[in-house]
Amino acid sequence: MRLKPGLIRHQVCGEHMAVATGEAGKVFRGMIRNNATADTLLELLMEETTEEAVVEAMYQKYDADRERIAADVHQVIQHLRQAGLLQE
Amino acid sequence: MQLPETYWIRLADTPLWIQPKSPKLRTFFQDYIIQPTPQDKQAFQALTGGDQPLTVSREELEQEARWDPRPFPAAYLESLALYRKLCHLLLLSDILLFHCSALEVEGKAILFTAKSGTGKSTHARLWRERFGPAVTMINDDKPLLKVEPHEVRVYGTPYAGKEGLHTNTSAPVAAIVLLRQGQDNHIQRISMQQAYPVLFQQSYRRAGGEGLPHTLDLVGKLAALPVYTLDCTISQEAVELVYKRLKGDGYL
Repeated sequence: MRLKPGLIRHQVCGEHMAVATGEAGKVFRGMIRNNATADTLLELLMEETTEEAVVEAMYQKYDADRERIAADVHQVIQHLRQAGLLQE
Repeated sequence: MQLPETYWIRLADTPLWIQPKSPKLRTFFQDYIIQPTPQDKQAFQALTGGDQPLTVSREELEQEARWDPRPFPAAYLESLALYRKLCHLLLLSDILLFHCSALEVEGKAILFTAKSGTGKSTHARLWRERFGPAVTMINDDKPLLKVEPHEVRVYGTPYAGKEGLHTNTSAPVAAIVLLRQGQDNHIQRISMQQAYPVLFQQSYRRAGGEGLPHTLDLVGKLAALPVYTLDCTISQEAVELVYKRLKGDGYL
């Protein structure tokens, strides 16, 4: 699983934005405004990976319960899936 | 059979050497044609990395036709394809194509932007009615914005919408006003973060994402300008409201 090619992450106006172009742009017309955590999550999904690997990487980085992280990661991945931004 | 003629134009203070196939484009560009100086020729070479005039290939023309299903005349399509090509090039000089109605009053420019059909051209017309010759229509549809360290400047281009209102001039942008149709007239200053997504939508960007981080940075600079939302009726009251507010806030 990974994000469809073409989602570009960029920091501007003090915020983390993600804009869909190319392949990703075909299904998602718009811009995503992320907090720093979501931005980190997107970065992890730029390469082929699994949900467990993402949870593990986030757990290593952030000071929170593993269950909490797994639930949050799952929720974001579901949103991305619904938006058609994941390729699996 | 002859090669199409080549000539020089200046858009957004940038000398450009072009060779369109359609002779009609010479009329289209007439207000912007220049006699190039040696500096102009050097600048063009530096920008394009070559010494050939810009042309639109048949492939680029066909691609342009695919963006819109309506059957446009070849000259019009070529003008669009050429603008697209020019915009890709001009991005390298921090010049951004922005969809808005740009007018100049008292030496400063106001950019009115809105979803198509909301009435920004009509609103601009009301400014002309109110201020007469004190207002210059810089461009009513697709001007070029040059982002510089201390200001953003808006430049006229011939790509100026249905009525083709444009002037070969430029002015520093004092403010951007996001128009929305409303029951009454209400103006509000918004933050950079609030402005950003709206300004982004009105900025030209390439479908393939080329140059996007740079485009996003330039849009960020636009969002740092004074940006207001204007809920308005089609009326002189709306014009008064904007004028008084911008004067009061010190931007005009």
